[in-house]
Amino acid sequence: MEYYDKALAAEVYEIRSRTFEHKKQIGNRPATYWFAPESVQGQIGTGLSLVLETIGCFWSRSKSGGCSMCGYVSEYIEGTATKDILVSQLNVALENLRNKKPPYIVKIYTSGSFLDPKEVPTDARNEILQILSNIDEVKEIVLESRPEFVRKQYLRDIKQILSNKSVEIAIGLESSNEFVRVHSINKGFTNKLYLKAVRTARELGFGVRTYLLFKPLFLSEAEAIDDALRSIEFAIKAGTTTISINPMNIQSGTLVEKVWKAGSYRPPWLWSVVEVLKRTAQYTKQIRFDCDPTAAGKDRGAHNCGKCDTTVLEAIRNYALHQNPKVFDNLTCDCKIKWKSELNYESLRR
Amino acid sequence: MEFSLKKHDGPARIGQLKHKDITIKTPSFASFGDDNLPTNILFGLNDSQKYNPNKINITILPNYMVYYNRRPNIDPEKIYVAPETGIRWGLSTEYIKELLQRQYKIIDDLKIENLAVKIPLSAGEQVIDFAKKFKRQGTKLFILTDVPTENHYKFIRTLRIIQELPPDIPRLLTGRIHPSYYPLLVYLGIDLFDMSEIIYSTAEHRELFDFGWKKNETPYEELLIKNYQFAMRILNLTNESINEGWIRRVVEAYSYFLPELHTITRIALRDYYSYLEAYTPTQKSFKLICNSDLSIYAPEVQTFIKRVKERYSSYRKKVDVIILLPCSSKKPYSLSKTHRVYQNAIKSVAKKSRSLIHEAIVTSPLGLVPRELEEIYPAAHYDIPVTGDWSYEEQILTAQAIKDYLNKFDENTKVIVHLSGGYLLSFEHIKNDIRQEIIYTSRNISPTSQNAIQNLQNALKTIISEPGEKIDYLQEQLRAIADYQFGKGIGHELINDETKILGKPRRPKKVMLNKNQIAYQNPETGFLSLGLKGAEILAEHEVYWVRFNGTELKGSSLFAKGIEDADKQIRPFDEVVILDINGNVIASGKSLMSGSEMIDSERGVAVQIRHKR
Repeated sequence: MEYYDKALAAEVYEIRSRTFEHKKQIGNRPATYWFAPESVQGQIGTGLSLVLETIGCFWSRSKSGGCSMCGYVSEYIEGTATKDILVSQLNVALENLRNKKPPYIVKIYTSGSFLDPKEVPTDARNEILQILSNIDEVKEIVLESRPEFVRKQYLRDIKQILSNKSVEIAIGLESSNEFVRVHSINKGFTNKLYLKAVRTARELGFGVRTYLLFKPLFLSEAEAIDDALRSIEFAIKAGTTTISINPMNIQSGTLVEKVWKAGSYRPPWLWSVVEVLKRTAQYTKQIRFDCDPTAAGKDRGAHNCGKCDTTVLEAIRNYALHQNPKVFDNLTCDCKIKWKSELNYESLRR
Repeated sequence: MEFSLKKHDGPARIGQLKHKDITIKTPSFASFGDDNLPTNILFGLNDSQKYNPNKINITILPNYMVYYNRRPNIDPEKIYVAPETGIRWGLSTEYIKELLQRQYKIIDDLKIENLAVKIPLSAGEQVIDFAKKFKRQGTKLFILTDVPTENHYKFIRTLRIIQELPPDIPRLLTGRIHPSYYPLLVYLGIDLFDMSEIIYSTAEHRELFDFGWKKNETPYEELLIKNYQFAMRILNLTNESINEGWIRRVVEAYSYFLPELHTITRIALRDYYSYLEAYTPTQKSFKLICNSDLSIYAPEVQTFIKRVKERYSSYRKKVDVIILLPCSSKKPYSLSKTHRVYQNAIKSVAKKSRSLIHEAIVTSPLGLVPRELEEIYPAAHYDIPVTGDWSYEEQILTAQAIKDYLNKFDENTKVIVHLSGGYLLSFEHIKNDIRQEIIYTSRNISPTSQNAIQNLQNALKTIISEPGEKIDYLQEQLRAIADYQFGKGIGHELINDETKILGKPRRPKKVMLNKNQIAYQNPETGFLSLGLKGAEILAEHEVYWVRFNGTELKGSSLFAKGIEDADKQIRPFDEVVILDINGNVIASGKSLMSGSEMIDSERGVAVQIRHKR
């Protein structure tokens, strides 16, 4: 099959091209970073998620226009992320990490691929990893990249610096259905490439963290649940060590936002997320599941009726920490009937 | 799965959806999944869902991305909804066009016998061509999807595509729609609704009723039944009103229950007028109730006004005076006490000059009825609330009709305005536009009062001096009716001095030429039905013809499938002439569809045959 859909790409590129007038220079502060309680090697510690500011994803800079749900396509950043710039970005986050509860897990993202040397030059990458290697409380490190850049040479270099840490390479598979990646997400890589990246990483002693997008554009709620369950099975079979389920959130300047604003897309119900997580319980001995829905409970994120969102969200976060499906027992709300009907009706209505 | 249309009232229709041994009467609900409600159709999300023998089971195939990834096995006995391709609001026209093409390709790929296809309203006008293609691919049911129910302006605007959808395929409208909207939506041509509003409202503790909803904390199952019964009541009422031929009345009445519904009703009745008109019968045999300010815009009313303006003209050689009279509640007017008073008064003065005097009746909402047309539908069939107050809209409409009528006469004709109250008020809007001399005989007094009658007679005496031509009033009346029915001048062709009229005033009449029947007047509608001889005359003028794609008719019905072409001005219940493939007259009949509908349809009876060669 073709690895991208020209009509969809044109649609995304049209949005992307509007950002060209608002160019921005790379600065000394990271794009964003946040902390959250997280399970680190079996203990509850702190997770740092750090998004470094770089020139951005090569895919979104190409004629493809980037992914349909990715807010980074609405930014157009220029300049070169030198070693000094990226290290100072890292330090901003690390300063705030010190007073957090150890042990730490540090997840490094860019608005593209950390392993792409055009985004993060090799000397900058080595320096960042060296700094992290020297912090004892950092037990785990997650480095995100598109599978194109998960290359043996890069991984060997990383392994040398981080021999004392557990490292996962994070890949946004989003869905194991290639048609979904082509006709909904505009992701631009094949299952074959993902499988190859996972094999490479595992062979060299890395873990793999697979990101799944829950409820891609054009899928109904019921189809989304089905898609997630199939994708989970696929990723486990491929050899992933962690699966992070990311319910769709509406990011500014995306195709998804356009359709959402026009009234033809609803972010997933938290009930659907619960439904998927419940069914992951059978795999928790093999791998770890993570889920921290962005903008949950809000219009732009996964949400229920408004009354039960906080409780249900708490159960979801609890599950990510303890991997125990009992947290979902006794969860209920009037809106559950509506959600169940929606599993039928959204498939009819769209 | 087969759909056949049983009855029309405007674009609203009663139909029958049949699959194997199960038959469903539409308009109706479509339900699916685990609704657990006693409804007609059960849509199943997947094959594992239990089959309920009382419902037609329809399986929704997944989105094309899921479908291509894992092609399901197709059971030729089952009904499927073809995969959708992600057409949504917010996407560009070009992209949507590409997605429609993909949908078309999948349907080709599917090769399903019993096929339902989604028609996304977000695709806009370009979906119409595809709907026609989908029909050729064997689609048996259209499912209107991506319906913008949250914005009522957008909602009613996007529904415009219904007008262009092939008429012989049933349409299911999806989305949350309050049951009070059903009459309007059925009137616009919707056949099926989903039940999401009933289920979702119940989950939100809302009890639905005609005027909206109210909070109700009764347990889910109990409230669900209640809401379901409410919706069923409106569906039944809608069905019943199509059957009786007064769906329009129910639409108008329900529009007043909810402000947003009223808004979209007004927009729909205005913007989709020509569509509504094309499906509205020009003749019925029962009362036309004009109960609201929306009734003025009913196709029945507007068609009458338009035809009087465009098709009516007096057959008299000379008219010296026109008398404008107020209407009466009894119809035809001549049978009322008041009109007997006027006519006796006129007769006693006019004597041999009677043919120089022409009478016309001023009324709302029909505007003006020439005396010759008082027996036809809807002049003899309308009923309005009478308070004596005329709304501004009524006055303007009536004034315009009077003006158009008076323009048909010579400027030396005198006009006696025997009107008062609202009638007179209407006339006064255009009095300065009238070329003829105006004489008021009922100003500030009741038209039936002795003084008014005296004024009328005095006025006549001063105008009338010589005897008029001797005319056959029956002939004059039937000619005017023929003109109204078939077009200006046709009356003269059908009925001339060689034809003989059998019958008396206000009794059924026959028009004969030698021993051949040209036409027969239906006493209930006042209209003419055609004998073979009449059909031949009509054929010569190339109006109200239907061309059969063969040479020999069998049975008493002509099906839409057998029709090659037809005159587009044909409306349901019009009298038509049937031509064979070579253009020869082979029969006369009564149409059951509008001209374009019989061209576009492949199913249903198009014409009931009256006389065959």
